[in-house]
Amino acid sequence: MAKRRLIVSLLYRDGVIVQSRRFSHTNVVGSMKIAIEFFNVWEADEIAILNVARQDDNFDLFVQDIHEVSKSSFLPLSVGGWVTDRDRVKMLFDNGADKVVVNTRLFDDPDFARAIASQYGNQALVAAIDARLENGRHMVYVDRGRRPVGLEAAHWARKVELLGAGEILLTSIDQDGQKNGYDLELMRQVSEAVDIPVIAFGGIQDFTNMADCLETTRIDAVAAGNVFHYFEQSTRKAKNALLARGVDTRVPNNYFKY
Amino acid sequence: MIGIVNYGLGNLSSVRNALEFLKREAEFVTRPEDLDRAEALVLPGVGHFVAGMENLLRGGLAQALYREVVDRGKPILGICLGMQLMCASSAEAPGVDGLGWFDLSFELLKSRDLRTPNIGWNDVSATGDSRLLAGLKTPTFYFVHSYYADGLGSGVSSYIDADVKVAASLERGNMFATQFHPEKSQQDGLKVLSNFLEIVDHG
Repeated sequence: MAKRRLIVSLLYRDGVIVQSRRFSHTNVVGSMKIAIEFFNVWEADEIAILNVARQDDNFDLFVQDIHEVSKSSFLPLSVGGWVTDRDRVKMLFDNGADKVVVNTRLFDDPDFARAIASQYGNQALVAAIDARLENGRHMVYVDRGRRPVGLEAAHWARKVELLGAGEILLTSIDQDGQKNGYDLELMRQVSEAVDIPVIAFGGIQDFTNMADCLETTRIDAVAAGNVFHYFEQSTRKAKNALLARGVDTRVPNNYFKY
Repeated sequence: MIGIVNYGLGNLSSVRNALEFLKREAEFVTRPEDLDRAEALVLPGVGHFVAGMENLLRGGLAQALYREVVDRGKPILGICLGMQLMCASSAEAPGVDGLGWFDLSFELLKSRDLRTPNIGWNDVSATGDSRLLAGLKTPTFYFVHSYYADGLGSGVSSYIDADVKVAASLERGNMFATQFHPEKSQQDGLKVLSNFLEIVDHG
C-alpha cells in the first residue's frame, strides 16, 4: 500500500555517469550533478547512484561527488559500489547517503550485514543481487557479474533478509541494457520469497515493461538507468505512463519554487 | 538560527540542506549549552531507540531539551527516530523511557497493506486542523521505519490510513514531530518544513 516507487539509477564511473549493457559499459552520459538536478525536478521517487568502476581506486572521489550532489537532492539517496568495509559505509552515510547498497561483501562476510543493520538500522541496507539464467534457474553472481556463488536468487534473497537487509535491489544480468524488459520470472520469484521490499532493475525498454512488472508481480519499486537518459522529462513521462495503467504511485506535480 | 540536535544518529546534513534551501540558517548543536542559542530545534534521527536515548542522556542533551522545550516553550520538530524519542516508549527498547512528551508507545509494524520496514511514499490523512500540513491537499511523504505509533492516539495530527493506522505526524503546543522524512519528501516535505518555520516565526 506504500506507493510503488520509480527509482532512477545512475551508474557512476570515475566522475561521470555511464550506461551499461550486460554489465559492460557503453556511453558516457555526462556529469552527475546535472543528472541529479534533472531527476529531482522531474519527479523520480528515489535516486540510486552505483559506482561501477572496474578498479577500486577512486572511492574518495566518489564520496566527494556524492557529498556534492546530496546537497541538491530532496529525495532519498541510495549509494553503492565497492562498499567493502565499515569505514566506507560510514563515509557514505556521513556524506549524504540515506541507504547503502552492498553486493559482494554481503556474500563474502555474513557479519557485515549484521554490523550495518545493527548500527544504522535494517532500512539503511540494500542488498544488491545480480542473477543470470542458467538451465532454467536464476543463479547469483557477485563481483560485478563475474563470480558465481552457486546459489539461486530466491534462496540468497531469503538469506540476506535474515542477515538484516531492509531491501533488495534485484538485477537480471542477461536483461541489462538489452531493452527487452525485466526478467519477470526472476522478479516474481524473489518478491514472493521475502517480506522486505524488492526493487526490480535491469533491461527496460519502455514504460510498458515497468507497468507489466508492477501489475504481475509483487515488486515494490522499479529502477532503470539507461532509458532515462534518452529524453527530457523522462521520469515524469514514466510516472504518467504508470498512472495511466492504474499503478498506485506518487503523482508528479510542479517543481516547488521558493 | 535553527538548531539541529546532533546526538550521533541520523543524516543531519539532509535536514540542514533542506532548511538552507528554504533560506534559513541552520547549525548542528551538540552541547547542551548550544541549544540555548537556537530559536527552534530539530531532533532528527535514524537508528535504534536504545542508542538514541543513551546518546541524549549521556550528553546531557535530554535535560537541555526539557529545559528548552518544556520549560521555555521553544518550538521543536522531531523527525523519524526523533519523533519516537519524544514519546513514551518503544517495543524496540523494552524498559527504556523516551522523553515522554507525547503519551504514545511504538510497536513493530505488522500490516497486510504495508511491508516491514515500511519504505516508500504514503498518502497521509490529517485528523483535524494540522499546522504542519497546512496548505497540502493530498500530502504524500517518504517513510522509512519498522516501528509505529497508533494513528488514532493522542497528539496525532495525521496518519497513514492502512489496515493499521500509522501515526504520521504529532502536534501539541510548541511540539511537532513527523514519522516521515520531510527533507526527503520533495515538495510536500519542503512545505512541511516551511510550515514549521512559519510557526517558529509567528507562533
